[in-house]
Amino acid sequence: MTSKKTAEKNKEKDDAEDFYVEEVIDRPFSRELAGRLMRYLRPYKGLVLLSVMLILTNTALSLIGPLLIKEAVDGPLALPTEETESRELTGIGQLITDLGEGAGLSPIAVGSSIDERTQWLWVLVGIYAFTLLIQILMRYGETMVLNRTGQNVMRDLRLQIFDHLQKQSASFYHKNPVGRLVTRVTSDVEALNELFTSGFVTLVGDILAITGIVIMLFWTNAELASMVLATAPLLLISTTIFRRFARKHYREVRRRLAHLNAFTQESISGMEVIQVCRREEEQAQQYSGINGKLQDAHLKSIFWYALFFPTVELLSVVALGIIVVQGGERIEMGTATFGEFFLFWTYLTRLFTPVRDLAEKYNLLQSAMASSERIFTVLDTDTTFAEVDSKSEPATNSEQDSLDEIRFENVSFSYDGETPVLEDVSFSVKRGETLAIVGATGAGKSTIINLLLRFHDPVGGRLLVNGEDIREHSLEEHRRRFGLVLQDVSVMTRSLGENIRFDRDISRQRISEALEQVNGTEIVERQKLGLDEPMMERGRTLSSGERQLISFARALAGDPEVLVLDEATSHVDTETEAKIQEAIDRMVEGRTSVIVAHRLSTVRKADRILVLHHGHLRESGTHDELVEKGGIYARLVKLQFQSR
Amino acid sequence: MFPFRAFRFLAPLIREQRPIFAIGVVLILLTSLSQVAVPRLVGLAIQKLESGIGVDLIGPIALAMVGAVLIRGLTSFWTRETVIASSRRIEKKLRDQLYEHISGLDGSFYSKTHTGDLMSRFTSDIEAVRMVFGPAVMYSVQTAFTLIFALSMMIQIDWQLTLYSLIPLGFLTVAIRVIGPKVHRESMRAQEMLSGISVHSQENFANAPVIKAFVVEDAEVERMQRLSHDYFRQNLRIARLRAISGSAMWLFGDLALVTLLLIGGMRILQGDLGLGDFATFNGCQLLLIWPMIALGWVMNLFHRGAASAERLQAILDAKPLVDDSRATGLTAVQKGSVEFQNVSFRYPEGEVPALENVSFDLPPGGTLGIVGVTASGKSSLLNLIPRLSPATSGLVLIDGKPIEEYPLKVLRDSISMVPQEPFLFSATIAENIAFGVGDASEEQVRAVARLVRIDQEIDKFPNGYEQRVGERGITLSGGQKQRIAIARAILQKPRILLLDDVLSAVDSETETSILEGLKDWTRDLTALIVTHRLSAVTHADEILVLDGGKVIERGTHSELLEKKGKYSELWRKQTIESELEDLE
Repeated sequence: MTSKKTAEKNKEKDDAEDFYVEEVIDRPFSRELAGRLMRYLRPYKGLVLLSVMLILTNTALSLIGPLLIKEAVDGPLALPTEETESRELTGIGQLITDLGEGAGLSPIAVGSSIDERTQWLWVLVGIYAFTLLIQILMRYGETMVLNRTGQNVMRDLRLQIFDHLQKQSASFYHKNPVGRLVTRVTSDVEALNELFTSGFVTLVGDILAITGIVIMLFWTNAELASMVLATAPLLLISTTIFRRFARKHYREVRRRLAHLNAFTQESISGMEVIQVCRREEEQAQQYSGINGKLQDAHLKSIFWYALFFPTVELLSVVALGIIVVQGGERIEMGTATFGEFFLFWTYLTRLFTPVRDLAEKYNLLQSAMASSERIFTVLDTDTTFAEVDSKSEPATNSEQDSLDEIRFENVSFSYDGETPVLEDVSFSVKRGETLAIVGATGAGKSTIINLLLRFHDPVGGRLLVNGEDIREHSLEEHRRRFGLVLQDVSVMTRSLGENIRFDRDISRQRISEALEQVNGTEIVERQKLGLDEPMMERGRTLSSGERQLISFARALAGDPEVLVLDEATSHVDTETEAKIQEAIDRMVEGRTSVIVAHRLSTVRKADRILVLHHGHLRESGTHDELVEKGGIYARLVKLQFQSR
Repeated sequence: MFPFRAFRFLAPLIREQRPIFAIGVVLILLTSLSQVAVPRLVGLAIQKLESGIGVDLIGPIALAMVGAVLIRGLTSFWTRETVIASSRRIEKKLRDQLYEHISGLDGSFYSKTHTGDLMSRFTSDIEAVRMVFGPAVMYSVQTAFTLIFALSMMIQIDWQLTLYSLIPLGFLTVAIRVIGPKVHRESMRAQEMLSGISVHSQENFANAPVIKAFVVEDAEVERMQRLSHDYFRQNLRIARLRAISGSAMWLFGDLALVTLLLIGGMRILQGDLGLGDFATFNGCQLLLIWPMIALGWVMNLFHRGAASAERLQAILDAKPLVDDSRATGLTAVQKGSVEFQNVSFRYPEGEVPALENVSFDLPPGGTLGIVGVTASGKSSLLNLIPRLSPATSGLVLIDGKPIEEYPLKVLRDSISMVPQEPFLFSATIAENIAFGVGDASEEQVRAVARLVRIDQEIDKFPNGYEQRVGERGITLSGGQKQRIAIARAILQKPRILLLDDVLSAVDSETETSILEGLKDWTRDLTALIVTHRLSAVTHADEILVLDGGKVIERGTHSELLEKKGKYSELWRKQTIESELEDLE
């Protein structure tokens, strides 16, 4: 139990240290991890299908605009030269012509009047505007569907992790710092969010867009297209190079930033020590050094970004230059049109953006891989049944008898399988009795409580309730018999009343009663909103004594058959201490109780006293019996009178 | 339009970077010029082709285009290398400055500032200010130049057409400007919700036994479901805003093209506009889409940056209450007597005083024991001596002189303090022990480690004294941390030693042995010892019993036992406890 307390104390510190222990790691793409992630999309097949369809149509629609400009330039806007006369319309152009003729327009010819041409122009612009409108709506739909899918997956995953972690046994929590577990539920899941909502699908969308544009270019003018696309390998090479360096520096920046933040956090928490040791200057220098390293990392990554963007730009203009020269030549020769020239130009501007994006999306993928690996590691660690035997469930009889007797029968226990914590301990508590356990730190007092509530099952011997092994009954029903008060008081960030109700079906009336029974009414009266007053983290606004009273009320409000109390040793002021003592006396009266006792006044009134030492039950009996016996307990009592 | 005032306090930092910013502006000018040249050249080429005159110039035109882009590539490369790099330099200096500043602030600041809030000054607020001096400056200047060049060229071709195509582009700016802050606000709310989820998880994992004992796991999962669902909905709200702004970008960008196609097309038909100029126009519009988006974005950056700058300034304006303003020429604490005369202390936002009228006089080399329940004012009392916080009223004297007369450096040089929560840095154990002295020999470090009985435990670590604290697998126990903190304090060889319940995590046997070991070292020191374990102060010259900030009992150990008050009650309780622990 001591190790646990220390762990609690160091919790805040550990959170800061996590920065060091868990350096930001990127992980290369793993098919296995990705496959496992994809499984979370299964419940949302419909949404996924819809989003794929939307992406497909959007990509297709976005290709239409430049085509229409081409048709306009080659059609109504074209000069009445010999070339246009004999031109065969294909694809969309043919479709538009049919459409226009259906509407009663005469086809464009050399001799078409300005009015006729204007009408055609209106038709083209109309179609453009129409596709634009559809596109806007679909683009909106796409974003929404993608986000809905991603958010759904996130929520499922988050709940799964939370649920999984909550089911873990006590020993799991001993091994894993709480701060790290919280990270799994929060930031690791968030990293995946990026992947699902923007990364993954943008990736698909970008690749589709690139493919679509390339196809259109070849379809329009294969010769010109192959020349323009000769720049593509260069683009690919520079992108790859950029990706490698950018990733390296990106990782470096993140590492430095994590270091700097950890240092800052540490300095703020340890400022008193720094000031009393007069290390302000040295610390500031060290800080400046780390800060400088971050700056260097930033500057280096600026270099690569600064280099990359102009390179892509340069390549795109080289491609444009090719169009101007080669396209110009072909226009002269009559194998290309001005419309095609425009088409190539507009498509090119749209081709280079997705190519550029792709490189950046890769970083996202890598950190998502690292996060999912961490998440799956946690999900794959299951200690739920390692501690509590699963055969216990489901309950053999759900209607429980009321409790008559709890019996420990030759119980032995060890947390690590080596060091015994309890050895061959036997005792019993009957209905209405109060049992006090006395012993030094590490004698095994808290372990008795852990076994009683079945946080662990004994290694040897057994626990009987009404003569039946507790493993034969439902775990939940068993635990419901007890009202537990631990030394570390757990006030949570919810209202005062909710802290007492604690998710159970308990009326407000009962809550007030319970508070009254434990002398806690005053706490409520002091709050502006009474029972509805929200509590701060760790119950900051309450004194330690008040927190104790709240946890008493919580235990009492459920009308437990057995009250289990790890009597607080926290040093509270005299007044509160008297209140707590009085509350304990009142709670225990007439109720079956097991108390780890620190005050002899509590012990004295108990029906039975156990004296534990190094895991052995050394003495057991009533106060009078034990005093008469002249053993350890008698010595303690004598000591008390001596110093008085 | 821009809240420049908020950035005024950064003037010295900006001034240093001014020449670089000036170069940056020139570079951006060149970038914009070369950028606008491209559509002009394309237009020219088409003109040549259309008219059939000067077709042989097409090759040189294409070369000129590539040349223009080469220039643009170089200038934009150097723009980033100058402007963005400058912003990183400003960021670094500002962060250094902030760190140095908070190093000088005292308890009056820290007691009302949450670590998390202060951390976000260092992270998100500095980044927001950095964005102003980097991307915001770069893009706003670039937008301005590009607008000027592109527009003047467009107006030259056809001012009416320019007007028509500017309208949709203008909407682009407005859309970003309107939706951007909303996205930011909703994102902040989402962030809050996420931290709610974080708190809920933290509380659940930390209180697992209680939750299991009350069999409320399912209800807790339900709570989590509610929190997750709210967060889910909030994120969709943000997604909706993003979807709207994303769609708007497409809509207005393409709408400008449609307008050009219609109006420009009609002009062509009427013979007012050549195909070449049409192309130039088209190119200019494509160039303008990003700057118009950037305009809205940049405005948002400015506003966000201004809010952050104000928060930063508030911290930089915070003045420590503790300073050297009353210091005289004292260069050392000579003997080390400590006297309190009617000292009271109240936390800046505390309702009740933490200390009330505390007086005592401790001769050089004397030991004062301070006992009392939690929050009775024990730690506050210790904090006043090295002036971590200033007393609200009364006098604290060292060697008969008010502590304010000692320069802080001198005062703290002669005092060592071990706080209640031992604080170790993420450094090696040796570095942690030598933290207060800068350079200590290995022997000295080992010597003090031996004194606090931790040398054998350190030797057992894989890297011994070079073991880093907090590294995977090596977590120090509370008792080990406390002993390292004590070793650190005594290595400084202070005149006055302040121990704040420093051995609570070791058992009483070890405590006795440590105190035994320290006797030689501390014999000449003035020591103030706060403790929960009375056995640690039985030998003290005087013991104060505090309750609610007041001294309720005082005297030597035997005097206090005689009184049969609070102290003797505590003593009895502890004797029984130690009796239990000593059982064989």
